[in-house]
Amino acid sequence: MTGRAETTSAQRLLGCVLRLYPKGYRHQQGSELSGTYTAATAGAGRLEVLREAFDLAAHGLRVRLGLTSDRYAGAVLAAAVPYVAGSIAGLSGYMLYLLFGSTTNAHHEEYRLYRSVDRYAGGVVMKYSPVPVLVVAIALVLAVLLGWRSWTRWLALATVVTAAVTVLVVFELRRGDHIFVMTTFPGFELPLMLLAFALMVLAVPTDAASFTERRTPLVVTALAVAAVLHLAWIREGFAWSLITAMPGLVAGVLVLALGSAVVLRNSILPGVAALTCAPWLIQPLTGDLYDYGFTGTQYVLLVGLAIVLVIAEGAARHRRLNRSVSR
Amino acid sequence: MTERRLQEPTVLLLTALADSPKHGYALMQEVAAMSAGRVRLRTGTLYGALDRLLQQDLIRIDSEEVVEGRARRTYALSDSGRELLEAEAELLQATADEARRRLAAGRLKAQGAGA
Repeated sequence: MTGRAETTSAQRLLGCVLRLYPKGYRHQQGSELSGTYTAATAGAGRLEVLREAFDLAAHGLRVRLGLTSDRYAGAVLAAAVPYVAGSIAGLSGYMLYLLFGSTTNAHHEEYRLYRSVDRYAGGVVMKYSPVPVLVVAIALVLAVLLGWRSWTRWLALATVVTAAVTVLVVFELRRGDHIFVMTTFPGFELPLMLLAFALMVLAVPTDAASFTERRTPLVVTALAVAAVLHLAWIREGFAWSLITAMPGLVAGVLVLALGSAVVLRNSILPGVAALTCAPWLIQPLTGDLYDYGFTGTQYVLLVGLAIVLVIAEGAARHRRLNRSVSR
Repeated sequence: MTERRLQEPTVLLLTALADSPKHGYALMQEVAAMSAGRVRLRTGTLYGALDRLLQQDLIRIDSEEVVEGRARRTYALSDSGRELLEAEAELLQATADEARRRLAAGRLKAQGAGA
Protein backbone atom coordinates (compact mmCIF):
# COMPACT_ATOMS: atom_id res chain seq x y z
CA MET A 1 0.00 0.00 0.00
CA THR A 2 2.78 2.42 1.03
CA GLY A 3 4.87 1.24 -1.91
CA ARG A 4 2.05 2.00 -4.33
CA ALA A 5 1.51 5.44 -2.75
CA GLU A 6 5.22 6.20 -3.11
CA THR A 7 5.18 5.06 -6.73
CA THR A 8 2.18 7.30 -7.43
CA SER A 9 3.80 10.33 -5.82
CA ALA A 10 7.07 9.63 -7.70
CA GLN A 11 5.11 9.44 -10.97
CA ARG A 12 3.29 12.68 -10.10
CA LEU A 13 6.65 14.33 -9.38
CA LEU A 14 7.99 13.02 -12.71
CA GLY A 15 4.93 14.42 -14.50
CA CYS A 16 5.57 17.88 -12.98
CA VAL A 17 9.26 17.78 -13.83
CA LEU A 18 8.63 16.74 -17.44
CA ARG A 19 6.41 19.82 -17.87
CA LEU A 20 9.55 21.94 -17.50
CA TYR A 21 10.77 20.66 -20.88
CA PRO A 22 9.66 22.44 -24.05
CA LYS A 23 6.72 20.71 -25.73
CA GLY A 24 8.72 19.54 -28.76
CA TYR A 25 11.51 18.01 -26.67
CA ARG A 26 8.97 16.40 -24.33
CA HIS A 27 7.10 14.92 -27.26
CA GLN A 28 10.30 13.52 -28.74
CA GLN A 29 12.16 12.43 -25.59
CA GLY A 30 9.64 12.49 -22.72
CA SER A 31 8.76 8.81 -22.88
CA GLU A 32 12.42 7.78 -22.90
CA LEU A 33 13.34 10.21 -20.13
CA SER A 34 10.56 8.89 -17.91
CA GLY A 35 11.61 5.29 -18.64
CA THR A 36 15.22 5.97 -17.65
CA TYR A 37 14.15 8.01 -14.61
CA THR A 38 11.80 5.25 -13.45
CA ALA A 39 14.50 2.60 -13.86
CA ALA A 40 17.10 4.76 -12.08
CA THR A 41 14.85 5.48 -9.11
CA ALA A 42 13.38 1.99 -8.71
CA GLY A 43 13.96 0.94 -5.10
CA ALA A 44 15.78 4.18 -4.28
CA GLY A 45 15.20 6.18 -1.10
CA ARG A 46 13.17 9.37 -0.99
CA LEU A 47 16.28 11.60 -0.98
CA GLU A 48 17.75 9.81 -3.98
CA VAL A 49 14.44 10.16 -5.86
CA LEU A 50 14.40 13.90 -5.07
CA ARG A 51 18.01 14.38 -6.24
CA GLU A 52 17.23 12.54 -9.47
CA ALA A 53 14.11 14.70 -9.96
CA PHE A 54 16.09 17.88 -9.21
CA ASP A 55 18.72 16.92 -11.81
CA LEU A 56 16.01 16.19 -14.39
CA ALA A 57 14.23 19.48 -13.58
CA ALA A 58 17.50 21.41 -14.00
CA HIS A 59 18.03 19.74 -17.37
CA GLY A 60 14.46 20.58 -18.41
CA LEU A 61 14.97 24.23 -17.52
CA ARG A 62 18.30 24.33 -19.37
CA VAL A 63 16.71 22.81 -22.49
CA ARG A 64 13.87 25.33 -22.28
CA LEU A 65 16.28 28.27 -21.84
CA GLY A 66 18.78 27.01 -24.46
CA LEU A 67 21.51 26.58 -21.85
CA THR A 68 22.52 22.96 -22.50
CA SER A 69 26.16 22.12 -23.23
CA ASP A 70 25.44 21.51 -26.94
CA ARG A 71 24.27 25.14 -27.34
CA TYR A 72 26.40 28.28 -27.60
CA ALA A 73 25.04 29.78 -24.37
CA GLY A 74 25.88 26.60 -22.43
CA ALA A 75 29.43 26.52 -23.79
CA VAL A 76 29.89 30.24 -23.01
CA LEU A 77 28.56 29.81 -19.46
CA ALA A 78 30.98 26.96 -18.75
CA ALA A 79 33.92 28.91 -20.19
CA ALA A 80 32.93 32.03 -18.23
CA VAL A 81 33.07 30.38 -14.78
CA PRO A 82 36.68 31.43 -13.94
CA TYR A 83 35.97 35.04 -14.99
CA VAL A 84 32.63 35.15 -13.19
CA ALA A 85 34.18 33.66 -10.05
CA GLY A 86 37.07 36.13 -10.38
CA SER A 87 34.60 39.02 -10.54
CA ILE A 88 32.81 37.68 -7.45
CA ALA A 89 36.13 37.31 -5.62
CA GLY A 90 37.35 40.82 -6.48
CA LEU A 91 34.02 42.43 -5.67
CA SER A 92 33.29 40.53 -2.46
CA GLY A 93 36.86 40.59 -1.17
CA TYR A 94 37.25 44.30 -1.71
CA MET A 95 33.87 45.10 -0.18
CA LEU A 96 34.67 42.97 2.88
CA TYR A 97 37.97 44.84 3.16
CA LEU A 98 36.11 48.15 3.04
CA LEU A 99 33.63 46.98 5.67
CA PHE A 100 36.12 45.55 8.15
CA GLY A 101 39.66 46.43 7.14
CA SER A 102 39.60 50.09 6.27
CA THR A 103 39.26 52.42 9.23
CA THR A 104 41.26 55.46 8.20
CA ASN A 105 39.50 57.01 5.24
CA ALA A 106 37.04 59.70 6.22
CA HIS A 107 35.16 59.39 2.94
CA HIS A 108 34.36 55.84 3.74
CA GLU A 109 31.69 56.41 6.37
CA GLU A 110 29.03 54.89 4.10
CA TYR A 111 30.50 51.41 4.51
CA ARG A 112 31.82 51.38 8.04
CA LEU A 113 30.15 49.10 10.54
CA TYR A 114 28.99 51.28 13.37
CA ARG A 115 29.38 49.93 16.88
CA SER A 116 26.45 51.92 18.17
CA VAL A 117 22.93 50.92 17.22
CA ASP A 118 21.21 53.34 14.86
CA ARG A 119 18.22 55.33 15.93
CA TYR A 120 15.83 53.41 13.72
CA ALA A 121 14.99 49.77 14.28
CA GLY A 122 16.41 48.45 11.02
CA GLY A 123 19.73 50.25 11.41
CA VAL A 124 21.83 47.27 12.43
CA VAL A 125 20.30 45.08 9.74
CA MET A 126 21.00 47.79 7.16
CA LYS A 127 24.64 48.17 8.18
CA TYR A 128 25.33 44.45 8.23
CA SER A 129 23.07 43.44 5.35
CA PRO A 130 25.78 42.86 2.69
CA VAL A 131 27.95 40.70 4.99
CA PRO A 132 26.13 37.31 4.75
CA VAL A 133 25.94 37.38 0.96
CA LEU A 134 29.59 38.46 0.72
CA VAL A 135 30.66 35.55 2.95
CA VAL A 136 28.62 32.99 0.98
CA ALA A 137 29.97 34.43 -2.28
CA ILE A 138 33.58 34.09 -1.06
CA ALA A 139 32.83 30.46 -0.12
CA LEU A 140 31.52 29.95 -3.67
CA VAL A 141 34.80 31.29 -5.10
CA LEU A 142 36.78 28.91 -2.86
CA ALA A 143 34.68 25.97 -4.09
CA VAL A 144 35.45 26.95 -7.70
CA LEU A 145 39.17 27.30 -6.89
CA LEU A 146 39.25 23.88 -5.23
CA GLY A 147 37.28 22.30 -8.08
CA TRP A 148 34.42 21.09 -5.88
CA ARG A 149 31.73 20.99 -8.55
CA SER A 150 28.88 19.85 -6.33
CA TRP A 151 29.73 22.43 -3.64
CA THR A 152 30.04 25.09 -6.32
CA ARG A 153 26.46 24.43 -7.40
CA TRP A 154 25.04 24.43 -3.87
CA LEU A 155 26.96 27.57 -2.88
CA ALA A 156 25.82 29.32 -6.06
CA LEU A 157 22.24 28.49 -5.05
CA ALA A 158 22.95 29.74 -1.51
CA THR A 159 24.38 32.99 -2.92
CA VAL A 160 21.28 33.51 -5.07
CA VAL A 161 18.95 32.94 -2.10
CA THR A 162 20.99 35.06 0.35
CA ALA A 163 21.30 37.89 -2.18
CA ALA A 164 17.57 37.85 -2.95
CA VAL A 165 16.67 37.89 0.76
CA THR A 166 19.13 40.77 1.38
CA VAL A 167 17.69 42.87 -1.45
CA LEU A 168 14.11 42.24 -0.26
CA VAL A 169 14.96 43.06 3.37
CA VAL A 170 16.77 46.30 2.46
CA PHE A 171 14.00 47.27 0.06
CA GLU A 172 11.40 46.68 2.78
CA LEU A 173 13.38 48.57 5.45
CA ARG A 174 13.96 51.57 3.20
CA ARG A 175 10.50 51.58 1.63
CA GLY A 176 9.58 55.13 0.78
CA ASP A 177 13.18 56.31 0.48
CA HIS A 178 14.23 58.06 -2.67
CA ILE A 179 15.75 55.79 -5.28
CA PHE A 180 19.08 57.61 -4.81
CA VAL A 181 19.29 56.57 -1.15
CA MET A 182 18.41 53.02 -2.10
CA THR A 183 20.92 52.66 -4.93
CA THR A 184 23.88 54.14 -3.08
CA PHE A 185 23.56 51.53 -0.35
CA PRO A 186 25.71 48.43 -0.92
CA GLY A 187 23.06 46.15 0.63
CA PHE A 188 20.90 46.79 -2.42
CA GLU A 189 23.07 46.78 -5.54
CA LEU A 190 25.95 44.62 -4.35
CA PRO A 191 23.64 41.62 -3.68
CA LEU A 192 21.89 42.28 -7.01
CA MET A 193 25.21 41.98 -8.83
CA LEU A 194 26.24 38.91 -6.84
CA LEU A 195 22.83 37.37 -7.57
CA ALA A 196 23.43 37.85 -11.32
CA PHE A 197 26.93 36.33 -11.12
CA ALA A 198 25.76 33.39 -8.97
CA LEU A 199 22.88 32.68 -11.38
CA MET A 200 25.45 32.35 -14.16
CA VAL A 201 27.39 29.73 -12.15
CA LEU A 202 24.14 27.92 -11.32
CA ALA A 203 23.15 27.81 -15.00
CA VAL A 204 26.37 26.07 -16.13
CA PRO A 205 25.39 22.70 -17.70
CA THR A 206 26.12 19.76 -15.37
CA ASP A 207 28.04 17.91 -18.08
CA ALA A 208 30.07 20.95 -19.14
CA ALA A 209 33.84 20.91 -19.48
CA SER A 210 35.80 21.26 -16.27
CA PHE A 211 36.66 24.71 -14.97
CA THR A 212 38.94 23.45 -12.22
CA GLU A 213 42.18 23.67 -14.20
CA ARG A 214 41.76 27.36 -14.98
CA ARG A 215 42.80 29.20 -11.84
CA THR A 216 44.97 31.88 -13.48
CA PRO A 217 42.06 33.73 -15.21
CA LEU A 218 40.15 33.65 -11.91
CA VAL A 219 43.00 35.21 -9.93
CA VAL A 220 43.81 37.77 -12.67
CA THR A 221 40.13 38.82 -12.95
CA ALA A 222 39.84 39.12 -9.15
CA LEU A 223 42.93 41.34 -8.99
CA ALA A 224 41.72 43.49 -11.92
CA VAL A 225 38.29 43.98 -10.31
CA ALA A 226 39.81 44.86 -6.92
CA ALA A 227 42.20 47.30 -8.65
CA VAL A 228 39.33 49.04 -10.50
CA LEU A 229 37.34 49.37 -7.26
CA HIS A 230 40.38 50.70 -5.44
CA LEU A 231 41.06 53.23 -8.21
CA ALA A 232 37.44 54.40 -7.97
CA TRP A 233 37.87 54.81 -4.23
CA ILE A 234 41.07 56.83 -4.65
CA ARG A 235 39.50 58.98 -7.38
CA GLU A 236 36.04 59.52 -5.93
CA GLY A 237 36.43 58.49 -2.30
CA PHE A 238 33.61 56.04 -2.86
CA ALA A 239 34.47 52.59 -4.21
CA TRP A 240 30.93 51.88 -5.19
CA SER A 241 30.65 54.97 -7.31
CA LEU A 242 31.56 53.60 -10.72
CA ILE A 243 28.51 55.12 -12.33
CA THR A 244 30.44 57.12 -14.89
CA ALA A 245 33.44 54.85 -15.36
CA MET A 246 31.86 51.41 -15.61
CA PRO A 247 30.01 51.62 -18.97
CA GLY A 248 33.22 52.88 -20.59
CA LEU A 249 35.25 50.08 -18.99
CA VAL A 250 32.71 47.48 -20.09
CA ALA A 251 32.73 48.88 -23.64
CA GLY A 252 36.56 48.71 -23.63
CA VAL A 253 36.55 45.06 -22.49
CA LEU A 254 33.99 44.19 -25.20
CA VAL A 255 36.07 45.82 -27.96
CA LEU A 256 39.20 44.01 -26.71
CA ALA A 257 37.33 40.67 -26.59
CA LEU A 258 35.91 41.12 -30.10
CA GLY A 259 39.36 42.04 -31.46
CA SER A 260 40.98 39.00 -29.81
CA ALA A 261 38.17 36.75 -31.05
CA VAL A 262 38.71 37.85 -34.66
CA VAL A 263 42.49 37.32 -34.41
CA LEU A 264 42.16 33.95 -32.63
CA ARG A 265 39.11 32.79 -34.65
CA ASN A 266 37.39 32.14 -31.35
CA SER A 267 33.61 32.31 -31.02
CA ILE A 268 33.41 31.70 -27.26
CA LEU A 269 35.64 34.57 -26.09
CA PRO A 270 33.32 37.51 -26.96
CA GLY A 271 30.39 35.72 -25.33
CA VAL A 272 32.41 35.10 -22.17
CA ALA A 273 33.49 38.77 -22.00
CA ALA A 274 29.96 40.05 -22.66
CA LEU A 275 28.39 37.75 -20.09
CA THR A 276 30.94 38.58 -17.39
CA CYS A 277 30.56 42.32 -18.04
CA ALA A 278 26.74 42.39 -17.91
CA PRO A 279 26.25 42.49 -14.09
CA TRP A 280 28.63 45.46 -13.87
CA LEU A 281 25.98 47.59 -15.56
CA ILE A 282 23.48 47.05 -12.73
CA GLN A 283 24.98 49.74 -10.51
CA PRO A 284 25.40 52.44 -13.16
CA LEU A 285 21.94 51.69 -14.57
CA THR A 286 20.06 51.97 -11.28
CA GLY A 287 22.28 54.68 -9.82
CA ASP A 288 22.00 56.68 -12.99
CA LEU A 289 18.25 57.22 -12.68
CA TYR A 290 18.65 60.02 -10.19
CA ASP A 291 22.19 61.26 -10.45
CA TYR A 292 23.03 61.46 -14.11
CA GLY A 293 19.79 61.97 -15.94
CA PHE A 294 18.35 60.30 -18.99
CA THR A 295 21.43 60.75 -21.19
CA GLY A 296 23.54 58.62 -18.85
CA THR A 297 20.87 55.93 -18.75
CA GLN A 298 20.86 55.85 -22.54
CA TYR A 299 24.65 55.38 -22.46
CA VAL A 300 24.31 52.36 -20.15
CA LEU A 301 21.50 50.93 -22.25
CA LEU A 302 23.62 51.32 -25.38
CA VAL A 303 26.43 49.32 -23.75
CA GLY A 304 23.81 46.77 -22.69
CA LEU A 305 22.65 46.52 -26.31
CA ALA A 306 26.29 46.06 -27.37
CA ILE A 307 26.51 43.11 -24.94
CA VAL A 308 23.45 41.48 -26.53
CA LEU A 309 24.83 42.05 -30.05
CA VAL A 310 28.25 40.63 -29.10
CA ILE A 311 26.58 37.47 -27.72
CA ALA A 312 24.39 37.15 -30.83
CA GLU A 313 27.43 37.61 -33.10
CA GLY A 314 29.35 35.01 -31.08
CA ALA A 315 26.46 32.54 -31.45
CA ALA A 316 26.31 33.09 -35.22
CA ARG A 317 30.10 32.69 -35.51
CA HIS A 318 29.89 29.51 -33.37
CA ARG A 319 27.28 28.04 -35.72
CA ARG A 320 29.39 28.92 -38.78
CA LEU A 321 32.54 27.37 -37.26
CA ASN A 322 30.64 24.22 -36.25
CA ARG A 323 29.17 23.92 -39.73
CA SER A 324 32.59 24.22 -41.37
CA VAL A 325 34.05 21.64 -38.93
CA SER A 326 31.25 19.14 -39.60
CA ARG A 327 31.84 19.53 -43.34
CA MET B 1 45.85 12.55 -34.00
CA THR B 2 43.93 14.85 -31.72
CA GLU B 3 45.36 16.44 -28.61
CA ARG B 4 41.97 17.35 -27.18
CA ARG B 5 41.47 15.83 -23.75
CA LEU B 6 38.02 14.64 -22.81
CA GLN B 7 36.22 14.85 -19.50
CA GLU B 8 36.14 11.59 -17.55
CA PRO B 9 32.33 11.15 -17.84
CA THR B 10 32.60 11.64 -21.61
CA VAL B 11 35.39 9.06 -21.90
CA LEU B 12 33.34 6.63 -19.81
CA LEU B 13 30.22 7.19 -21.93
CA LEU B 14 32.13 6.65 -25.19
CA THR B 15 33.86 3.59 -23.68
CA ALA B 16 30.51 2.15 -22.61
CA LEU B 17 29.37 2.38 -26.24
CA ALA B 18 32.60 1.01 -27.73
CA ASP B 19 31.56 -2.65 -27.80
CA SER B 20 27.83 -2.40 -28.48
CA PRO B 21 24.93 0.08 -28.72
CA LYS B 22 23.15 0.77 -25.43
CA HIS B 23 20.08 2.59 -24.10
CA GLY B 24 20.09 5.34 -21.47
CA TYR B 25 19.69 3.29 -18.29
CA ALA B 26 22.25 0.69 -19.44
CA LEU B 27 24.71 3.55 -20.03
CA MET B 28 24.13 4.84 -16.49
CA GLN B 29 24.87 1.39 -15.07
CA GLU B 30 27.93 0.81 -17.28
CA VAL B 31 29.46 4.18 -16.37
CA ALA B 32 28.91 3.53 -12.65
CA ALA B 33 30.38 0.01 -12.94
CA MET B 34 33.46 1.07 -14.99
CA SER B 35 34.27 3.86 -12.55
CA ALA B 36 33.62 1.64 -9.51
CA GLY B 37 30.74 3.94 -8.49
CA ARG B 38 32.88 7.10 -8.59
CA VAL B 39 31.02 8.62 -11.55
CA ARG B 40 27.26 8.49 -11.21
CA LEU B 41 25.35 10.09 -14.07
CA ARG B 42 21.82 11.20 -13.18
CA THR B 43 19.07 11.18 -15.78
CA GLY B 44 19.22 14.91 -16.62
CA THR B 45 23.03 14.98 -16.78
CA LEU B 46 23.09 11.81 -18.91
CA TYR B 47 20.67 13.17 -21.51
CA GLY B 48 22.46 16.54 -21.51
CA ALA B 49 25.71 14.72 -22.33
CA LEU B 50 24.03 12.48 -24.93
CA ASP B 51 22.51 15.54 -26.68
CA ARG B 52 25.96 17.16 -26.80
CA LEU B 53 27.67 14.00 -28.11
CA LEU B 54 24.95 13.65 -30.77
CA GLN B 55 25.43 17.28 -31.78
CA GLN B 56 29.22 16.78 -31.95
CA ASP B 57 28.59 13.72 -34.12
CA LEU B 58 30.51 11.47 -31.70
CA ILE B 59 27.54 9.13 -31.20
CA ARG B 60 24.47 8.28 -33.28
CA ILE B 61 21.02 6.87 -32.62
CA ASP B 62 21.20 3.17 -33.44
CA SER B 63 17.55 2.21 -33.02
CA GLU B 64 14.26 3.32 -31.51
CA GLU B 65 11.83 0.82 -30.06
CA VAL B 66 8.90 0.70 -27.65
CA VAL B 67 9.48 -1.32 -24.48
CA GLU B 68 6.66 -1.70 -21.92
CA GLY B 69 4.79 1.19 -23.53
CA ARG B 70 7.78 3.54 -23.40
CA ALA B 71 9.96 4.71 -26.24
CA ARG B 72 13.55 3.63 -25.92
CA ARG B 73 16.50 4.75 -28.03
CA THR B 74 19.76 2.91 -28.25
CA TYR B 75 22.90 4.92 -28.91
CA ALA B 76 26.01 3.78 -30.75
CA LEU B 77 29.49 5.17 -31.28
CA SER B 78 29.90 7.00 -34.61
CA ASP B 79 33.05 6.71 -36.73
CA SER B 80 34.39 10.04 -35.46
CA GLY B 81 33.53 9.03 -31.88
CA ARG B 82 35.47 5.79 -32.35
CA GLU B 83 38.46 7.71 -33.73
CA LEU B 84 38.37 10.17 -30.83
CA LEU B 85 38.10 7.39 -28.25
CA GLU B 86 41.01 5.54 -29.84
CA ALA B 87 43.12 8.71 -29.72
CA GLU B 88 42.14 9.30 -26.09
CA ALA B 89 42.95 5.67 -25.19
CA GLU B 90 46.39 6.00 -26.81
CA LEU B 91 47.03 9.20 -24.88
CA LEU B 92 45.98 7.58 -21.59
CA GLN B 93 48.06 4.49 -22.41
CA ALA B 94 51.13 6.64 -23.14
CA THR B 95 50.73 8.48 -19.83
CA ALA B 96 50.26 5.22 -17.94
CA ASP B 97 53.34 3.66 -19.63
CA GLU B 98 55.43 6.72 -18.75
CA ALA B 99 54.21 6.63 -15.15
CA ARG B 100 55.15 2.92 -14.86
CA ARG B 101 58.57 3.51 -16.46
CA ARG B 102 59.40 6.36 -14.07
CA LEU B 103 58.10 4.46 -11.04
CA ALA B 104 60.34 1.49 -11.97
CA ALA B 105 63.33 3.83 -12.47
CA GLY B 106 62.65 5.42 -9.09
CA ARG B 107 62.50 2.01 -7.41
CA LEU B 108 65.82 0.99 -9.03
CA LYS B 109 67.44 4.22 -7.86
CA ALA B 110 66.15 3.69 -4.33
CA GLN B 111 67.47 0.11 -4.33
CA GLY B 112 70.86 1.34 -5.63
CA ALA B 113 71.07 3.97 -2.91
CA GLY B 114 70.08 1.41 -0.27
CA ALA B 115 72.73 -1.16 -1.37
